[in-house]
Amino acid sequence: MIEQYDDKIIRCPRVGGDVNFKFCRSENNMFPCGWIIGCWHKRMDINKFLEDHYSNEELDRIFALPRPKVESLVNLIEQAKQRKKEKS
Amino acid sequence: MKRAMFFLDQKDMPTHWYNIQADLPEPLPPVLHPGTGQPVTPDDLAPLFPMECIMQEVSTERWIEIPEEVQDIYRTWRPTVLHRAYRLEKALDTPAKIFYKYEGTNQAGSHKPNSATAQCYYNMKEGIKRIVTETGAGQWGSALSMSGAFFDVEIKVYMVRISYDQKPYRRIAMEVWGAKCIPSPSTETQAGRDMLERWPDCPGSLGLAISEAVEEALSRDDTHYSLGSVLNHVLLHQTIIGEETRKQMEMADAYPDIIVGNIGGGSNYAGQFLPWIRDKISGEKPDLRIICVEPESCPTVTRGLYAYDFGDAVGMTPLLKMHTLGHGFIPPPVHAGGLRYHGMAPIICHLRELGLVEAVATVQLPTFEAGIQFARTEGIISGPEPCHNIRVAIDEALKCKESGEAKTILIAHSGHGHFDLAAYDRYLSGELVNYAYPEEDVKKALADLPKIPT
Repeated sequence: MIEQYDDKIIRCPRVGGDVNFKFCRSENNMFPCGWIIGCWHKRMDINKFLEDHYSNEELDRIFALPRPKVESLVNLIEQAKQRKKEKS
Repeated sequence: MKRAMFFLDQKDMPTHWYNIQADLPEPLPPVLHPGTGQPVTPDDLAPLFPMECIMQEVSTERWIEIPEEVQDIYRTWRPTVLHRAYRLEKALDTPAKIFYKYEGTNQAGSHKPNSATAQCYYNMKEGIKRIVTETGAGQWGSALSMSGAFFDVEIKVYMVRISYDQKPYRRIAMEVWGAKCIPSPSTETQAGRDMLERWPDCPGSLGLAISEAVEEALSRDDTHYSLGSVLNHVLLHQTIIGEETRKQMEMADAYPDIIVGNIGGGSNYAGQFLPWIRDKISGEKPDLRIICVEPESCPTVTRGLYAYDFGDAVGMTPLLKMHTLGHGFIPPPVHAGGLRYHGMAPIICHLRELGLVEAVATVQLPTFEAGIQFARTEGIISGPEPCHNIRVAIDEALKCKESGEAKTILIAHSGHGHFDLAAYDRYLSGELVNYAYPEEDVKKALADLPKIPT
């Protein structure tokens, strides 16, 4: 079951504090964090967990690289322009 | 008497930032739009940033005057002190001379306010009343909150909910400075509401906090967004660090053979080394070594290629020329969260590509070991990020011990680790592990880099 490891605790370097596994498997818009393998591979068979609970398509999406901030911002601006265009 | 601290009088504080773009042997490659392959223009950034910052982003003017109002704020903590690390030198039994420029004496504890102050000022001058940002552990949020208080600009910080709950002291500091700090996801944006509807107890994420901040900034004419790393204008604002250090090294009758700093978003180290690299570019100091340090677990510059890469797997985001490991690279964790970008400041990537800076990687355990040695000799408990460059500085000093050379080593030290003691606790209790990304996997990831649209 997907909740089996939910209570395990680890320090998350991104948020700078302790988090449980439930956070790690759902912080990416309800999907696992892209860093989950690196964080958990020494504590459990994380690859098996992922294979058991996610499709290959989902895994491809999960492990797409996090965007560098600058690229994300320009992208968000483009999206905002698009929204304005649609409104007008 | 051995002089261990070099103070620069406030009347001698630099009055201009140094813009490396004036002296680059080749100009920076442009940011490209993924659809058209054409350069992104300043107007594209206008909804989020003040035009002065955007123009600094592309300026090739060598010296950019620091506004008097910004200088006045800088003088509440600047110039920062240049230290000679006699006690560390003695512990290492090295003939090397080790200096460090320490930014941790800032009210917010790091170099971040050097840019936060400037950004608040330019927004205020443009009539912007509010600035919105996101924060993870709270360092950038703290810096912006303090700077907002100085310029009477309202600051709103979306803080990842789990940090908001776990790190009340950062939140309280922001509130003391007058900022509004709210947990993300919130009910104040569509992105936040959507998430809360699906998951009422959602602990948040950095990605969601950024989405909320940007959504709010774009929804109001009196509101902008602010970023504390990566962008050219942020690095520009940090060059006051290196300009001060040049004067202080002159007071010490010394010139660095080696400058060491950690790179993540790149802003602190670039702020230190950019004012020195012009001596290397001009040919005056061809042997000056500038060493960028990154974690072995995320070898962006040491092993990555310099290429155009999309920021996401489906290729929707703009193309940006930077060191990258490609889409398929899954960086493993290290404690210095700020060092984990798969791409960093384009200026640093460009200088690396031109062969003007070196890059080395360190593994996790020896970096903390160096941080502990630094704390026990110099007294400063460093943030996890500067521990990386302290490691390399120590290694270089030990090489001097072997060779008998008395090289001068300058460390760019970004700040203290008083909010990162849990990481030290994990090191001291033996919970941290080394991790290096296998060469074979790096090669595999690089094979996926996209072609540039023509």
